[in-house]
Amino acid sequence: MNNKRTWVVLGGTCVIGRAFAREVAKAGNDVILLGKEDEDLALSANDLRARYPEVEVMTLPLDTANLDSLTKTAKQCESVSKNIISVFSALETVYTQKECGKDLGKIKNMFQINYFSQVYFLSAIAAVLQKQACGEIIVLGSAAGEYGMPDNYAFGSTKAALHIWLQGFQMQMAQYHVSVTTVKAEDWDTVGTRHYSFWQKPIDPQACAKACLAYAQKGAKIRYFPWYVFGTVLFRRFLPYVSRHNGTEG
Amino acid sequence: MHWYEMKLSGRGQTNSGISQVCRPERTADIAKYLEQVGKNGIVASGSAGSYADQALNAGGAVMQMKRLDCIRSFDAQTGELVCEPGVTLKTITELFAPQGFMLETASASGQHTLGGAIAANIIGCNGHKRMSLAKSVNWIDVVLADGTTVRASEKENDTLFKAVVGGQGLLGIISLVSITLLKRPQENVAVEKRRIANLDELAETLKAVRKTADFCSFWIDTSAGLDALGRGILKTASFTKETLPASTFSFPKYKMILPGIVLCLASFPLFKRLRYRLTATKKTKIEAYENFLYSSDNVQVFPAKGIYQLQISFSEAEGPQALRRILTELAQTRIGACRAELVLTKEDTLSYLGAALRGYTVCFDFFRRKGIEEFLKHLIVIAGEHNGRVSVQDDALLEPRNLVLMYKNLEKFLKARDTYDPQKKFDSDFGRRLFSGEKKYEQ
Repeated sequence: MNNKRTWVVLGGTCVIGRAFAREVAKAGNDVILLGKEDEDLALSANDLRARYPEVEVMTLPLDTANLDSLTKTAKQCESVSKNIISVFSALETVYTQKECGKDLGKIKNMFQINYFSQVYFLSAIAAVLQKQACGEIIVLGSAAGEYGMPDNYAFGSTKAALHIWLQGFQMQMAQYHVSVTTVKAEDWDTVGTRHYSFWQKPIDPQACAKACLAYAQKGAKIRYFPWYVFGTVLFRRFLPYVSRHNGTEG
Repeated sequence: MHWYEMKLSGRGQTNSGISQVCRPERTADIAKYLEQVGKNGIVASGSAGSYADQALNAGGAVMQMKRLDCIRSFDAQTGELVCEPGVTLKTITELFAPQGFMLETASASGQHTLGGAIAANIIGCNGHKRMSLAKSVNWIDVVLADGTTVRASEKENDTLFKAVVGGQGLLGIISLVSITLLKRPQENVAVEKRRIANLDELAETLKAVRKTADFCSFWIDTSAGLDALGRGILKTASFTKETLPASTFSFPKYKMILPGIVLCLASFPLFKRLRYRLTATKKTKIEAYENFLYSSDNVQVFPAKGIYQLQISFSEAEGPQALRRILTELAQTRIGACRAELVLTKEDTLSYLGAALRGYTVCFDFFRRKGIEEFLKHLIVIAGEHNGRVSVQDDALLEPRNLVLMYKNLEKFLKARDTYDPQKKFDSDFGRRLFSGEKKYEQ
């Protein structure tokens, strides 16, 4: 086995998943895109093939509604991969608090995708990575999982649960020389109503993907993206009653 | 599907406004977002590279297209690339230049999205050889106000095609583009810089350059006195078989983000004189084509007060006199432009709102300061007197009466807009400024 990777990208049809797949394909690694919609998967795969013809791109359906099927999907990934398997997970669904207030089923849906699907899949693929005794797992968390905000605390809670699980998972996988990196990205881009000021720019997916890969290569455990989100988190977590809420929905 | 409230501004920071912003990730989402548009309409925005209000819609909606950046297919035999409009020119160059392909237009910035470049009908420093990017477009898919997608090209729905190209997003949203990439003759270019002492020498040199060079741009020293009007540095480049010198030292390329004060320095006469004097009389070097392109992307300046850009095209016959008159005005009023550049162009008859004429296109950047608007309006009048056209691409001060005088196909554009978007669902600050007499879209 060489040092070439086969990156399994969960959420390979979303913008950050596509951006990450391009980054790793650019470096010459093969890619397995996992996603729900066949049409979108084909679109993302065609995009990668057109950009990097030498890279092998495969697609597999991901049924997040059927958690038991994820074990099978993980096995399929192992069987089609010719290289060291690494995983990038950008699996995420987002509803605003207002939407959740109208339909509590949306909270269940968010937990199903943002937490249970990832936990099930990562648990299933963990055995493969432990066997190969190397590889990287990158999971896209969110700064929303660090503190509750009036417009997205349901979404934040799904991410908070994931962060805790990943902390333990990281320690477990470290024994097998597999790095687990949680990237807590700024949530301005994902949910809720935000009043952007001139200095606040939505995160750039390509820059985020590049940073995720760099963090994993350094073996980082937890990183914030952009880096200054760390300051915001620190401020809001330790001075929760002093900090100004910038959310607009109650 | 989410909307965000954002304060957006043009690249020149002279115009800004609060808008509802959406970012579709699939082409199918465009029509869904269009259904939710309110009374002030919507405009598509690519890299937001326009200096003024072209991609702004205060009180309305803006659709940011950068996330629609999938490449659908590429045929290495024919060079046909089918992709979504959010793919940047730099990405196309990075991916396909190593395979021996190049874009029709060598624009100064690679940050433009393909859709934005078509909607703004950008020209580059090879404008005298190959006109705008739109010439290499095979077809475009346009999502109209009612959510239907129509394919347009020079042969099919040509009225729509000519109105969308250079139409600043006022007719529909480009959802898919087919473009032919050209075979690049050689890997490297020989870049030559030389000093030009005055306008007469410039006119003579440009006549020869039009025939010989593949790329050409001229930096004008606007601080020159009346005795040296048109002084500057001519940069030409042509494809060459020569290989890169083996032991070339070059500084690593970093993107420099500089404060507006740097531009302020650049507009000082002393700086301009130094730049002119320090350039060797004639200097040639070999560069890789990819490095030669997009030179302006390495520096990003944030001007505190804002910058106005004025881009005017003149015919070959009128150009020298018009340029002399404008430079005389600059020398007499001592208003320094922080950037002044001239490129050669050949006529672009494709777009209804295309500004370029066969001749010269001159581009000035000015700091916003007291009285500058009046001065620029005065320059627009001078341009009109010399049968010039002020490009709508980056302009902030053009008025409807100027537009009527300068654009002979304006009627056709307005008619096409009435046909394809009678309720003015696609609107922007730019559209309201120049076509305000028309009925507004009401939900």
